[in-house]
Amino acid sequence: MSQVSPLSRKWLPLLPAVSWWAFFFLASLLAIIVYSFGVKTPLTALNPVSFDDPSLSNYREAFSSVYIRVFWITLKTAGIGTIACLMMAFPVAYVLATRVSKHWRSWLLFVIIFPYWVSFLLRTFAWRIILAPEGAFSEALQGLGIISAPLGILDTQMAVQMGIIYNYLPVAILPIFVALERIDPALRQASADVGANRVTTFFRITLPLATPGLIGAGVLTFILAAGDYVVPAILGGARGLMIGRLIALQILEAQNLPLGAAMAVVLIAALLATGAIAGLALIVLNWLNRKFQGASI
Amino acid sequence: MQRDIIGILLKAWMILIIGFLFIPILVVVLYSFNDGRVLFIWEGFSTFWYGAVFDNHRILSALDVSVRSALINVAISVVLGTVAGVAIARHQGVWSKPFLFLIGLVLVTPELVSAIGQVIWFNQIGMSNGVTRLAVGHSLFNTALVAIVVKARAEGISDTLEEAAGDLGAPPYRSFLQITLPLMLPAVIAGALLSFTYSFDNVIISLFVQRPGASSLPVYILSSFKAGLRGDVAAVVVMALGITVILIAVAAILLRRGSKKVNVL
Amino acid sequence: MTKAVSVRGITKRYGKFVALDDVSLDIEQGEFLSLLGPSGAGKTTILRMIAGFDRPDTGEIRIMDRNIVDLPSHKRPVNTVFQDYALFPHMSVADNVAYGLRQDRVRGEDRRIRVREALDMVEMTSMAHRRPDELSGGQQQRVALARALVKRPSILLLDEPLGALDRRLRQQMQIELKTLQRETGIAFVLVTHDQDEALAMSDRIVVTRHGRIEQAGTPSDLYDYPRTAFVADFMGSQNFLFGKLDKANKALTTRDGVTLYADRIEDVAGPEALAAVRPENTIITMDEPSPALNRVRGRVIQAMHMGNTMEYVVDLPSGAEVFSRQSRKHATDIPIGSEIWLAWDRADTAIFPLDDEINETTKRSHKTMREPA
Repeated sequence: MSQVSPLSRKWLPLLPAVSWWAFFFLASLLAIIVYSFGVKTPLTALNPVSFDDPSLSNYREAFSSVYIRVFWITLKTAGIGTIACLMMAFPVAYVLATRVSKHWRSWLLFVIIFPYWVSFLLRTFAWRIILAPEGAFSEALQGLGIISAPLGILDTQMAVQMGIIYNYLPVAILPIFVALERIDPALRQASADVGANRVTTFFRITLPLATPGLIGAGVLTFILAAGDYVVPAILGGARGLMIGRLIALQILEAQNLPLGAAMAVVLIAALLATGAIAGLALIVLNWLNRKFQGASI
Repeated sequence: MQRDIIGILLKAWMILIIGFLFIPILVVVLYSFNDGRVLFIWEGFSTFWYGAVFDNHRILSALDVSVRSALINVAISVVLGTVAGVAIARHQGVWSKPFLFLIGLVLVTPELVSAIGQVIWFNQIGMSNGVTRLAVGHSLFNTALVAIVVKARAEGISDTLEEAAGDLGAPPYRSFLQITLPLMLPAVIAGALLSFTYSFDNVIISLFVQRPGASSLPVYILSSFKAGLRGDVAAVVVMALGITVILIAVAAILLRRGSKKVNVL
Repeated sequence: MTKAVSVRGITKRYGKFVALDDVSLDIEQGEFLSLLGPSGAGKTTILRMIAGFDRPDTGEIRIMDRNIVDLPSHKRPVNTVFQDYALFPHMSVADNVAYGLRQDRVRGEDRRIRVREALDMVEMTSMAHRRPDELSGGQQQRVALARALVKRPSILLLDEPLGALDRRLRQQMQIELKTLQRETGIAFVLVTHDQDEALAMSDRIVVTRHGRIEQAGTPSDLYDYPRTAFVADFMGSQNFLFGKLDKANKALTTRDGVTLYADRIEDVAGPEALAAVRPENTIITMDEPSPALNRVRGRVIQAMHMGNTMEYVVDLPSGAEVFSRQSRKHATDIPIGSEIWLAWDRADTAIFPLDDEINETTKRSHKTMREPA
């Protein structure tokens, strides 16, 4: 009878969660990779996918010009959406972190996060009502003479872009706020104390220290946006395509699991590649920054 | 002077952004009271569509599926996430980093990708019950979410409290039940609420793993949108919003009163 | 008589770091014992092992003559007052105190009376229904004491319990703790890094260093007869002068060429040693003192007002510095720059072996300072 010392069993409470994830999450990720080499069988076959003859044909198809174009549109939409979110979010996070009293801060934070608790569908639907060509907003704009024809944004890539920015803005605000709030106000005062003006303080103290938060917010927003399905499905119509819709189409309608799986692998690869490029850009930026600062000494 | 102008501009921007975030939500609430046949053309105020919701069997059945799967998902994710979250906050070890990495992986994997993986894997292992598929699918993300929320709270509670309980004669299980758990309760409730709303609102995972005849509410709404948007859909979305708001408010009141009650004892 | 605690040869390693190295220690019943040492000296580790939060790698711990190394903390007849008090924030003061009794299945009226008594003892009865976060630091401290004492342990462990309090309150609590200990007759084991606290309260002090016991004894023993330079330095301030030892004559020749005599020589191995004298035992004179005294010439380079005393820094020709504390009642203040004599009695002089961490007091005394080769 060997008694295990209690110290060595401290990982035990993690076991249920880890087993759960291993069996359902990790296994399903593995299943994607395996299926991406499979072949779709005719509908009459017993198994929907055959592995008798593993091939790269799914990947060949995923890299065909149609899909490449949609991949590119997806990355572009997510990229523009991310940059727009960061630019809109930063001033808000900055005000919250530096110019608002503690009491107001928690309330405002709640107000800003609240929309994210509200159903994603509801928030996306709303834009169909607002942007409807026959809707009140469109008529008001026409009445004011700002536009001459009914609004034609709906069911285009532009509507998708708007929906993406709108939906992920709260996600972008939070990490930036957290990073800014951690900066000791004394640092800004010290900077002013040694004679830096407000602009210098912002660019030399606040912004560099908030960079990790900005990167976090950017990565989060980008991943969420690039993998979105709901916004293009609701606001994009036939012309607003993102890869999420194509993958869903393959799996849910064409029942082509192997092709869908291969596209998912490519999506992950594209996200990782974007992340790597962003990381590289950051390193270069840091290097340039250091060089620039070195020159001023 | 300059400071004032910058400050005013910044605050104005914040108010503008808050307006931007809320106006669409308010628009849907408003239009759910639209009397018209076509949702986005305002015809006049009426609660007609709210009544219509309860005549729509498909909405009611989807609501039933959604609530059942969300509750099962909450049970799974709260138990697994709480136990793991407390453990990871309390004890460091060689396993800590891999575990945190795993949590991170679960949280950042695009929903679309895990949805594809799940539909493939669930079919492969022959999991055929629609509600179970939804509950398990949602629980994977939510277990990580609860673990993170609970871990943050547990780190804020000094671990000498558990030592103190032991010192005063409480065996480990009793010190967990009497000291750790009550102090963790706000985090556990918050985790449960987050888990419920995530599941209740989830579209992508549900869309992929659902079985015919067991659509969740969001999936039904999405499909009915394709058939043409009607007022009852807006009404049901607004009702779901109402449920979310009430849940948050109830939790907030419970938590506040809970702490006062201890005070009186 | 049965020892309250008997620690035999305990060793604890964390990876390569040796927290405790073969420590043995007895604690008598009803004794107030302090474990004193700098941080990382192992004193808290000893306490946590008696309490049952840590387990020694080797060795034995007996409480009232019963080996308890394998007993989990909730089964030991020991209670602890924690450094951060560790009061349960979700319970009232009364519930905190009752918690330990509840674990022992003490019920009803019996429990109520004992909680009441414990709160009376620390004068916190009027706060029984408050929550910990509504109390001041000193009040939380009392509740923590009551919560531990209500269990009537045979040993009470206190882990730096006064560290978070301000100076005035700390002094008041020192008196109260001491009184409480005498009234209850329970053995108190106090961990502290504050020598004044240890001196003020303890029957016996154990000085720890690098996981070993450096010296144990009564407060007077340690203050008057420290056996190493480390203990001498730790127990109040101390001047050290480096020099060549003449063992036969109990004399040491400093780098200034002055010979100092000592009544006491501790176990010195090498040809070199440190002579020590406390600042309060030195006197400053303008006239040459009697040759019967140890005496050096120097120049006052700094003067600090300490209330009823003045503290002077005296620069010796070799660069060594000596601190001297003079009562303001008996001496007039001496201006900076004065050339003066410093003198002290042989009986107040001790000679210690060299120590890696103790240096001659100089301008560069925080750097390792040895006789230039």
